[in-house]
Amino acid sequence: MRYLLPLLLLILSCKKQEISVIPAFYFWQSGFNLSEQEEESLEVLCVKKLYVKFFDVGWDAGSGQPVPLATLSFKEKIPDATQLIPVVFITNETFEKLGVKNDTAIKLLAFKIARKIEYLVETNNLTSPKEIQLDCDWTETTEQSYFFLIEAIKNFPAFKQMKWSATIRLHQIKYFEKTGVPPVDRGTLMFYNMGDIENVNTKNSIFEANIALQYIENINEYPLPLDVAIACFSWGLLFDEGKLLKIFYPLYKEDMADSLFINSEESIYITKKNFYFEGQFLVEGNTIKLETQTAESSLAAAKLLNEHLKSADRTVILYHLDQNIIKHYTNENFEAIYSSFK
Amino acid sequence: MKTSKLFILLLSSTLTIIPIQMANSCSWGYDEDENILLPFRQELINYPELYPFLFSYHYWKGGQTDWSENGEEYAIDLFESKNANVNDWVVYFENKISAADIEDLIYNSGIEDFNAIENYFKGKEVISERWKNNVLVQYWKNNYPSKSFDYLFFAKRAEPYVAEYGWWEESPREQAPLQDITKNAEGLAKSVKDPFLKLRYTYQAMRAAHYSKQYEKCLSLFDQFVGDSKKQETVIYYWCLSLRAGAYWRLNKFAEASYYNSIVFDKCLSRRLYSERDFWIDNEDTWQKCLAMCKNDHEKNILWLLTGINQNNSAVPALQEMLKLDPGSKEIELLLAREVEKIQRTYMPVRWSFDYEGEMEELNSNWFESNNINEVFNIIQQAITLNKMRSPEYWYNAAAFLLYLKKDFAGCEIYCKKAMVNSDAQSEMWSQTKITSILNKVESFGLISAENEIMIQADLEWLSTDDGALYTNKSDARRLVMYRLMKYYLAVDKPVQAEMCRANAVEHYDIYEQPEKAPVDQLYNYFTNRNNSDFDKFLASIYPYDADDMLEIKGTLLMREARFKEAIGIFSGMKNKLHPNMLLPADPFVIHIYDCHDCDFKEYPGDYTKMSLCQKIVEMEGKLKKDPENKTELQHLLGNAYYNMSYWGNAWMSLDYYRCHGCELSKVDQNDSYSWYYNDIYDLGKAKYYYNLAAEGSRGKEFAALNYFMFAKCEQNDYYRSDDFDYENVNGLKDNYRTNFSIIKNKYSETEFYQKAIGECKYFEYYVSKH
Repeated sequence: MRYLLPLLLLILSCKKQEISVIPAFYFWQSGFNLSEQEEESLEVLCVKKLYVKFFDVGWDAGSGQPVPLATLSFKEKIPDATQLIPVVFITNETFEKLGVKNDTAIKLLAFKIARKIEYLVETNNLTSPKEIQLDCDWTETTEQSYFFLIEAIKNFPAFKQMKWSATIRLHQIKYFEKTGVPPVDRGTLMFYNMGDIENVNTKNSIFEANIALQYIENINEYPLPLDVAIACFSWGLLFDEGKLLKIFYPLYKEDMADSLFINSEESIYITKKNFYFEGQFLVEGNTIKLETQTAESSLAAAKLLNEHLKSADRTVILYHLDQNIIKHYTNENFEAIYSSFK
Repeated sequence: MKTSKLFILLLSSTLTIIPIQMANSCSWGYDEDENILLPFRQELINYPELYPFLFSYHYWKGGQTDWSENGEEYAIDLFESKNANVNDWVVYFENKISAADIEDLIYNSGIEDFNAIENYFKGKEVISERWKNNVLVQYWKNNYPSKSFDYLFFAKRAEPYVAEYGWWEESPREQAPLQDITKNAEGLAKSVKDPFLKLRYTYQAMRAAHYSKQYEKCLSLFDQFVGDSKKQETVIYYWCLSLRAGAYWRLNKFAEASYYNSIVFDKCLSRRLYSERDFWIDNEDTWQKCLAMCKNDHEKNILWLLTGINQNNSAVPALQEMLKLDPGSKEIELLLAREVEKIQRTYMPVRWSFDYEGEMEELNSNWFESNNINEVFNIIQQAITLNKMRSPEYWYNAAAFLLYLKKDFAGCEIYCKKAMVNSDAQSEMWSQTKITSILNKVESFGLISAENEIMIQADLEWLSTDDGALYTNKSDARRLVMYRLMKYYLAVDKPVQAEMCRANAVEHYDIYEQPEKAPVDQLYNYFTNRNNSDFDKFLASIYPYDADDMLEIKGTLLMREARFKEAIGIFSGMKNKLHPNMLLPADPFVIHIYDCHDCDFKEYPGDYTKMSLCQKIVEMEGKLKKDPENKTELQHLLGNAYYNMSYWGNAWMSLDYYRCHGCELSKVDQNDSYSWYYNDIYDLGKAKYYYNLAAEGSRGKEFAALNYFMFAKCEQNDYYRSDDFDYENVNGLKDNYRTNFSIIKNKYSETEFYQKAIGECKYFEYYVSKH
């Protein structure tokens, strides 16, 4: 018994352990203005790193060029104790459209992305980041272009000393010899979004243990050191005549009013009439499938992944910091997820 | 997928394919809006002011319609802010000042120009002829001081702070100057008496307030100076209203924002695109509040249109509501046109799917949500029952097309007749009906018969005529008809007729790509059959090749097998002995150390045809047998001819129709569907045979050296094609391919040819230097 208390303290304290796990969150909202609850979570959980999505890069068909979208607006400073890691999400379509032999356009895009990151850091008086993360669900056909962009952006003068990380999807882990390994310092394994989201019959496309197991057999052969990202969210998938039309994010059971939906099956909601909902016009008979990560399923995912990962120091990032999401978890729930990697 | 494979192949390959006749420049790959065969014309509804909202991939994917490339068709000017603003000023100046002069001053000047003009008015400065001649400047000079000049000078000074930024440009709005502009413009709006200028100062104040994030201020400025009265329904009134909508949006008051955006959409073309883009409803309460703000059914109709356009599955409920509100509106026809287009794109095949039998479903993937045909058809029926349609012929046309897609042939015909009755003959609507009717007719045949052939011939001829805007739709319809006819002919075992239909159904048909696979004899017999029916003759007339083409191909294939006498017999049957494919651009009997086809085409044009080449070879080979005296000369010339007929020589087109530049270094996978791209005639067996004979039989050393060298060149070319070829070491030595180089070096190094060969042939020079 006399050993139990120090052990507990050891687990809950922010001090460095033998295996170092750095607690982190993704921040994926459009305005940086932390709520009290969000601030409290960062503090209580001793969150050292905040991976903040600065902007998306998508393809603008009208002008035929890649464009920045959903740029983050900073309404307050990042807490001092928290290290900021800018994240830029680039759609795979961008690289499909740019093509494989368009080095000039890709270099130009790299330059624009770098400039925009630099601009957002400077104009918002942010501490110069030590790491930048790029997020793209690249494929075999876009690998060359995406990796070329990474190399180009690394050469941006202001980023010479920067550490670079990239998100890695499960299929990119399993088939890394085909899809390639991005030229970065570390990868962040996104241990979620593994099922067929477009199939209404998929049980839960965010996380299913038996699907996850199919992808992580060779996880320790992956050539990059890996951080991990665990899903802590719930979303609604709108289907019209079996076809996925839209993702409502985040969406929880309590958002599905009885006056508007019939809860026909466990996570299936059918619209009772025509109405606007979360920016979308729903037609009577539409299906919304709710896929929810609970405290239990997020922890189960973390444990499953940890069982297959070799022990190493790593950052564990929870997706994502939003009061509408974190209110479904306690800080102990989050702590348990982090701790499962120690 | 073969298609994408082909595209990748063509776009990424550094290899180039050169046909005999210079190919027309071709661009591979289509705009997404042109991917699918579209026999139904979305633009039938002739409302240019709504064209940007027709269904488009670009609209859907990019958030805005990419109509810039369709400028003429879509009348871009209609939506330009500049034009609207200038016209407003023209009216203000009672048409006494031209739009060009006003535009020049507002849009092509800088602050320094206005400074100079002001000094000119004060007699302090001489201005340029350009401004002196500007009638507006003259007007101001005669009426100085002028409130309108003051306003435009104010607006010019505000410009740098409110300029639009590009996607990637980062430049924070300077708040202090914007706040100053707001304050000063507000003061001027208060003091100026002229209502036109009062409104414009208000606009300046609102815009600067908006950019400086003073959204409440922006709203109060509107309330104070613009109000709900529409006494000043100028363009600027709606620009102010647009700013008002924007301010509400920023304050999360989406009902107000969307309502005012809908008004701007309806009334102001120069803000129409923006207001549609900014229309956004977050939830049902907002929507109900927005509807409640409407003063009449027309305003509600616009709200439903915007919902129908914005929301990918809402068109049917929106159409239902619009039918109740205003069944005779343009807007309901626009939304119907979009839905019919979506259905069309769901059902119609991808443009090149006929080229790859069996892959149609794989190729046709939708990126949008299409509504059910029955639901849209029910709407049309309701509209027809109400009988308040603005363009009844359009509704009938749409109904007919949907029923054709549903394979309700009888129903389609009924609606085609109704559409015809309601259309002016030869109008676009009438033509559309005819297209649908033809498609429906052929689909309903179920099989081909002499009777059906007679029924369809005139229709096919009509579909081939280019009579204006519907040509692409007619052309697509023609391809669909031809594909169906091809299927019918295959079902009754008429492969030649099927082939002719296929040629007109597919995106790309070129018999010369794989001439060895073409049914040359059957096609020739068909073309020359005197018992052909009228329809057979018609099919032959639209097939891109004729009897001469078949003979030319047949003869060429015989030449490949060195069956020259038979080839001569076939070529003799051609009506046009100077058929373009028969002509050879250079003398096939000349040879050089260094191959240069273009040089030969220029310097040794000759007048050989495939037939005369065959005749010459037959004659020379005959002579070789009879006249042993000059045999080495003849053997050398025959070696040249066989060399030149191969891929390597200046007469490669005597055996082939395409030559792939750079392919000599590529391996051909015969299982690859596109192996024909790489598969040229590389065989040099006969050339080597004759060069060897000529070299060995030669009495003179120079001539012997020449022939050994040519033999060596053949070996060198064989090396390129061999598995031994090393990309990394192009000049590398592979002695088993250099037997004749060694003979020349060892036996003929004292000849003049030896020195010449070293000078011109880097491989030989390399060989000599290493041995």
